[in-house]
Amino acid sequence: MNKIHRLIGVAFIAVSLFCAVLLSISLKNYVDVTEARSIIPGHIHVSEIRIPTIPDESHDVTVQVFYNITNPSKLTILITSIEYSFYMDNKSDPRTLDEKLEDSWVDMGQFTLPKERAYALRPGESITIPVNMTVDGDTVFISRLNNTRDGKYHPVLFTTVRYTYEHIEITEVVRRVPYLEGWTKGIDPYDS
Amino acid sequence: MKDGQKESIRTIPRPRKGIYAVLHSIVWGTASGVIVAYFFFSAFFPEFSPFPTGDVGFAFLAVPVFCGFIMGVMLSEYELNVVIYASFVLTMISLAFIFLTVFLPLITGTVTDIAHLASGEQQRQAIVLSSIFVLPISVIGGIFGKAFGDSYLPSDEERAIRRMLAKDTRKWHEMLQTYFEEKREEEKKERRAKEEKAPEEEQNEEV
Repeated sequence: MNKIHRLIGVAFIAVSLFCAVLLSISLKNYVDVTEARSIIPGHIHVSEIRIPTIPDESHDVTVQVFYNITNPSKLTILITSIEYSFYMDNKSDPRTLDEKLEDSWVDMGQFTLPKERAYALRPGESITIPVNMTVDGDTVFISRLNNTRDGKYHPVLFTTVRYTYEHIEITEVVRRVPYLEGWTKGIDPYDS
Repeated sequence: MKDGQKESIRTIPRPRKGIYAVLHSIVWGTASGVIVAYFFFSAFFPEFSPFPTGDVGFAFLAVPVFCGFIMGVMLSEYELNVVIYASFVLTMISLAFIFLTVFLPLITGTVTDIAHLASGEQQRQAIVLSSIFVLPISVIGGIFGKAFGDSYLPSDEERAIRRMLAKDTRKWHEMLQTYFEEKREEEKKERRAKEEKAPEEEQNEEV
């Protein structure tokens, strides 16, 4: 080996070590994202639904849905969008939920934010996000919404959540997270 | 010539030279394998890399050729087969790193379902299939590197051998020159002697 060999060898080993460091960072990101992708969908919940009493169907009605999202992963996530399809079950209809779902659709609620203004959730943090939906008065949809049994609403929701990571350019989509608790137990009308 | 070669080989005994060859091919093969693995991972999964390295074609073609070339230069003091074995080590190391990186969440039990991996199925197939071609591409780079190293960056040992060979050749030339000069002188002397003898013989014949 001569001097030039040694010089090339040292430079090459240095590049190799640098690449090893970058590879380990990439690997950490990859494992963390994989972990986040698998556990975050289980931590998206509807914590509360506020449906007011509707004495008059000619007026617009605003429904509030509160989402509780916890970030159990090791990465900071940014929630950029939540959208849901709101269905109200008609308990007097004897068909199964799947069969009558189309006739129970009320409206969609959603919000979308750019990454810079998105809800940031650090590892281990929880957040409650309200997502409003306004149903127009004098429509078939408000009639569907104004459907109670024993004084309780029985809503069904399917939610799609989009989130991204603070330093990793990936947008994750959690599709059609069902909310059936209100459908089984019923929700009392909310009167502020 | 033979003396010169014997002297330079004597500096590293034959069995030790074999061990050095194995060690060097492992060291340079591993260093190159890490670089190739990073560039592959970074090209196929740029979103996870702190410094995305860009095009897949660059990682697929240029990086194995470059690493093979440097490896060939570094191993130029050994025979060509050592460079090829080192290319094999490079391929094995890079394949191991790529497989380990892509499937690590499954191996460590972070996730149990392959569908939860942050990489897409097509991406995984592409990276695994293309990493197999690292071997022929790095071998080509290694051969070029070895040729370059032999021609322009010979090792100190190789240089000493060449110097001795040149010295021997010069000596041979000088010896041949003196041999031919002596022969020519002898011929001249013989010719002169013949020429001197020729008139005497003529006189004798006349007498």
